[in-house]
Amino acid sequence: MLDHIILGFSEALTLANLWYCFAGVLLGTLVGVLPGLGALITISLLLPFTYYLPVDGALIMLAGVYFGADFGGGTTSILIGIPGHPAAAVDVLDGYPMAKQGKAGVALFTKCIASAWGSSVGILLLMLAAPALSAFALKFGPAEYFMLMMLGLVAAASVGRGSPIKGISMVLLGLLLATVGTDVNTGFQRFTFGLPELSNGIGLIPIAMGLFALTEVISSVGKASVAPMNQSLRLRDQLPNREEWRRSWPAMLRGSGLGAAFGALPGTSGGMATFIAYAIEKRISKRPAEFGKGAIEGLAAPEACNNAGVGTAFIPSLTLGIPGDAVMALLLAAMMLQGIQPGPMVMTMHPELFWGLIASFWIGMVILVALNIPLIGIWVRLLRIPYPLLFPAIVLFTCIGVMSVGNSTFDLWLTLIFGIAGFALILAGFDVVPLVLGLILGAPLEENLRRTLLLSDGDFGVFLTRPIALVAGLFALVILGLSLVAHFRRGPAAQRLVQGEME
Amino acid sequence: MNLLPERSRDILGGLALAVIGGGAALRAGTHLNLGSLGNMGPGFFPTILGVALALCGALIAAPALMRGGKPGAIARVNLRAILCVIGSVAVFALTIRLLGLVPSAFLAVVVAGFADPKTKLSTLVLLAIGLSVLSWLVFIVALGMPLSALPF
Repeated sequence: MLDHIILGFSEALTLANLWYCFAGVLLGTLVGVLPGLGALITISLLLPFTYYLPVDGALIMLAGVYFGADFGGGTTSILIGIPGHPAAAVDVLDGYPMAKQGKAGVALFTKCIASAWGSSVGILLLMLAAPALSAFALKFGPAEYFMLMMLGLVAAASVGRGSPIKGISMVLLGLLLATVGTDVNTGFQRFTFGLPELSNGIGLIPIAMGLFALTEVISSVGKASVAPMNQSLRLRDQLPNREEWRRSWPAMLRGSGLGAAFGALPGTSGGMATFIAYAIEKRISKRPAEFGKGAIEGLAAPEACNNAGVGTAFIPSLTLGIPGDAVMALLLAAMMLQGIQPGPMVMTMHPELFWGLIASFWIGMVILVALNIPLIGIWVRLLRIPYPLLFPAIVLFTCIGVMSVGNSTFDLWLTLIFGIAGFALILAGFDVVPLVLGLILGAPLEENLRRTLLLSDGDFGVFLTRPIALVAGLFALVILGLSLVAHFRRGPAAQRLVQGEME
Repeated sequence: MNLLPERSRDILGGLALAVIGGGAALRAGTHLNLGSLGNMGPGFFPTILGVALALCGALIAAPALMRGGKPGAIARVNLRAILCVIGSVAVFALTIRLLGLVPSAFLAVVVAGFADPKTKLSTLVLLAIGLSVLSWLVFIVALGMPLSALPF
């Protein structure tokens, strides 16, 4: 373990990688603070350009953006009552009332400490669990991989917005889009309609840029911006008093535990766990009436929960190559762009990459605390940048980004089509995130299914004889069954929680 | 943002998915070799996916269709935003080879900026000049992307 940590820090502490880490968290904080921009859209925009960077620098920077956006998103929630990104929505509930009572500094400080604590727990668990899981996963055959991917996809489809049937149809659409192009086993052209540009398949980048960047811009244009309240944010004003400390640290402990457990499950990130953490705090509190009116526990627990989940979300992505959410899918795509196949081999074949990335998480966190506590005033001023000046830049960088990958205008037209499709899907109440997970996992899912059934001579019973595949399959069935039952009884679980707490 | 009323969006969305799934299954089933379970051909997986997607689409549309009553009005959509954003990407795609990055970026920013009716043209032109020079510096000078900056 120790030699791994030393290896990691010697990798992350090179001048170039320190710079990528700093650039990533700085950019992440910036976009996290700006309403309407989050980790997802920023990482989609950056993804094509990481092709021009070394692979370790690229991943360190993208991960920095992810952590930074999570830190920054809460700032916007607290100061203007509008979440900087969806995962920070819960911070509005008690953070904004605290700011209205003149305690914006205390709220920002608590948020930052809770985030740092949650991240530490998450990264520590990642360091402990990943090597063991990765060694274990080396023994997995195609049957295990197929079922684990099915589990990930079912979880992603069931937990998101809208009904689980809608989620599953998005996964299926993503899987179907992944089959476009030349079939690797037989060389047959599938769904290419004679277009040579499609024979290599539809790239992830035009789809991600269209669905995330363009769709987001189309739906956000015209929204009014809100000015942040003017409050003194000197360090002295930020320190919580003894009573506030006493109330917030147990909440942080509980929140980080919950977040760490949820983050490791594929498909469960994206804010649902934070609302559960909030609900738990409210239930066990001696002063439940204070919740929604500025209870510090209601800010500390979800924030620790969210950031612990960010750390543990890397576990399935880095050890199995199965992404738990869209950001993880894009990070794995960045690895694939550089010719590294995600999976358990990453840790043995590229230990410097894995441990360097983890070391950069620690370094990034220190930078984030430094950026967020003494320099908070700068970020607050950023909230005044008007969206009308921002979105033309997003559209332009989307176009240039798409061009930079394949230097093909065909990809630009694809991006355009997916931008329109994404907007239509959102109008019709679908969530596009499961689609992207389906797209990423489509090729390996098909490959592993084919291989499993080739080995078993077409007998599906093979999935019953391999214990890990069986357990994963049963889990998938249980998750699917529960979410269908919950949906037909009362509407989707996450929606219910959100509505329940917002009232 | 405006969402369509639940009933009409489920009918439209469900039917669209059913058509896409059915079409994909039909095309894969007729144009590609299915093979067998033990030795799948290229058409097997897409056909299964298409059938499953068509089923899901039907499951989404059917309850909404059976609920009866008026389908509900189509919600107001910010048509100006859609046209400008789409137009901006289209302008960029059409001009990047012809004019090079700087003029193309300028046009894309101006067209995208029209999405918000409150933005003044002078602000927009300044923004477009700034962004096109910036993208030349970042993407061509610094990153060395294989694009020409100007038409000549």
